[in-house]
Amino acid sequence: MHPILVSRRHLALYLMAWLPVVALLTVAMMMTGWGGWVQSLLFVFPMVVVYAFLCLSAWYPCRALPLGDERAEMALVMHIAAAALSALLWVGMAWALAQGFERSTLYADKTQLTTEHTGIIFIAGMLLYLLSVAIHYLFVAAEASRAAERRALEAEVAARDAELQALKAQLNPHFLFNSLNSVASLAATDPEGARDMCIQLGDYLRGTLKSGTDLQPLDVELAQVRRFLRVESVRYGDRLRVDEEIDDRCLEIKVPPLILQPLVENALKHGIAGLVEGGEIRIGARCSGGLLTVWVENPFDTEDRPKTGAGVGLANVRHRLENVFGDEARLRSGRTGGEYRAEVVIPIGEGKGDSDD
Amino acid sequence: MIDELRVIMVDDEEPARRLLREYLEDTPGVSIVSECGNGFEAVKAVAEHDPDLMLLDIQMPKLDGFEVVELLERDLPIIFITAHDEHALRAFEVHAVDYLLKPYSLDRLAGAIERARDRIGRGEEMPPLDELASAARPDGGDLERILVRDGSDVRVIPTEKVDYIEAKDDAVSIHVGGLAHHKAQRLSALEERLDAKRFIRVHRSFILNIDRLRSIELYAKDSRIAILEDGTKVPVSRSGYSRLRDLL
Repeated sequence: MHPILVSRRHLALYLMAWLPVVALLTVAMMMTGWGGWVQSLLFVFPMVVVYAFLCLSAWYPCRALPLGDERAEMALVMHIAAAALSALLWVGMAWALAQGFERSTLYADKTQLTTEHTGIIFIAGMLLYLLSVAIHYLFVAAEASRAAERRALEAEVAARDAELQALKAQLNPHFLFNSLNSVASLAATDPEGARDMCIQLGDYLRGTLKSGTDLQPLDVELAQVRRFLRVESVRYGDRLRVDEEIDDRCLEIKVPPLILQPLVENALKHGIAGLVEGGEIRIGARCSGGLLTVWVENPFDTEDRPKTGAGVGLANVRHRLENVFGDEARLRSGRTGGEYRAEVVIPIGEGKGDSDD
Repeated sequence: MIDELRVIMVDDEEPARRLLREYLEDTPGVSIVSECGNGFEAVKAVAEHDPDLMLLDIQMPKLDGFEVVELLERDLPIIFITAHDEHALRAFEVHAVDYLLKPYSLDRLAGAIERARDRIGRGEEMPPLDELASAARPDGGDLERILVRDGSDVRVIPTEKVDYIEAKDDAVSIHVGGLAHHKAQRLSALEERLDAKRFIRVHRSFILNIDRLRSIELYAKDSRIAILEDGTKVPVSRSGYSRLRDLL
């Protein structure tokens, strides 16, 4: 949309700016023998009003041919040509208007449009059009800078948003809210249990915040998972049972942080939570042939509709494995009967982060 | 005014129930008539106890809170309780009396119960529950199972097992392997939620599972009947036939 035509106020200001042009041209016509000032004004006023609108058309070539482009010279030629064309149109209009006046009874003196008049109108037309081009370029520049500002702001908002999403996912707010609700519940009937839960929750959160991107021993990751499950077992009570089958020789092997956590969260959220009687989450680790295999197994409700969201955690783990091990690591997951199993296979003592130090 | 509100509470987590129980015991004019650990129990308990108010958790195994609402078949003021804000928003759309976000205070609960009492006292009419429950489902995905009541029991029918569905006044009769299950829902409301590639409205009063179709026979001019694999005959209208033809 044309910046001047978007509001009445803009248009009014723009037309006011043309008033001095009316005055100047009126004087010029008087001095070149067109007639008295009333006669000159009657001729000049409609001419200028029409031309004011004609000059608005400069906006479109100005926007299409921005300055500072390698096509700037072409733009200049184009604008001069457009100015000449507009000025010619204006002269044509002056000629038609003069014919009209000649036939009307409004004019006492019959005057003719001389070459001098035509020259003045043509040159004024050229200059006014080019002035309009200059003003329109100012509008284009202002609009571009506003757009750039907006884009920068949008990019910043998007970056913040991504950061916030990552933080939220890491803190797992629903887990926190539900845990706090359990603490509120325990506070009256089982103060010791409430205190214990606060401590577990604190340890878990600290573990989450501390985990950076450096590889850490499997032992540390397992400890974090156990804290998570201990907090959740207060909520789920008997419905959540955990069994571990960890080969002690694997405990020192370095793994990316929070690689097991999403798998255990899925096992709970998409497995145990959907079962009225609950079930057992089995966590295992085995190392042989230069590979560490860690797995999480859980029962799930086969009648339940597939829930959305399970894929996010898995995609996260897969992405992290890829970052550290390239295509040397694997994440496999699948269901057999009523059991779901997710398994991570990592090369022992390889990872980029590990070999660097 | 009702002097004593008879409430039923539903939550699958024991600590959450314990907290709610403790709060309710401190709230005057309220008595707990039933505590339920899952949606099935909740549907049963409503039929048995005819409570004035239900306090309902949303995320539960088997039947979630919204599905419980869908199966109630009667007006019952509901206060939803959840840790998920987005669920709460949906609950609000279901015109729940109120919703509580875990963890919540005794005051907040008391306020919600006051609102429920007001609403019951005014005898305010509530919107049909089944429509609101389905409106509250934002996923837009096709229905994968249909919940029906069998007395006070709940039956879960996977949609692929359905042969055809017949309209019966404002309710439907869902035919599965020779058995008919009644459900208080309009045929058009159910049709909207079914997979349009499998379930075709072949007649004003019939939806057909296209996997069960054996043949279509011309019965009279402009009138056909579909014959299902088990030999059942279902009328097919002219527009129903063109819909079928488009799909096949």
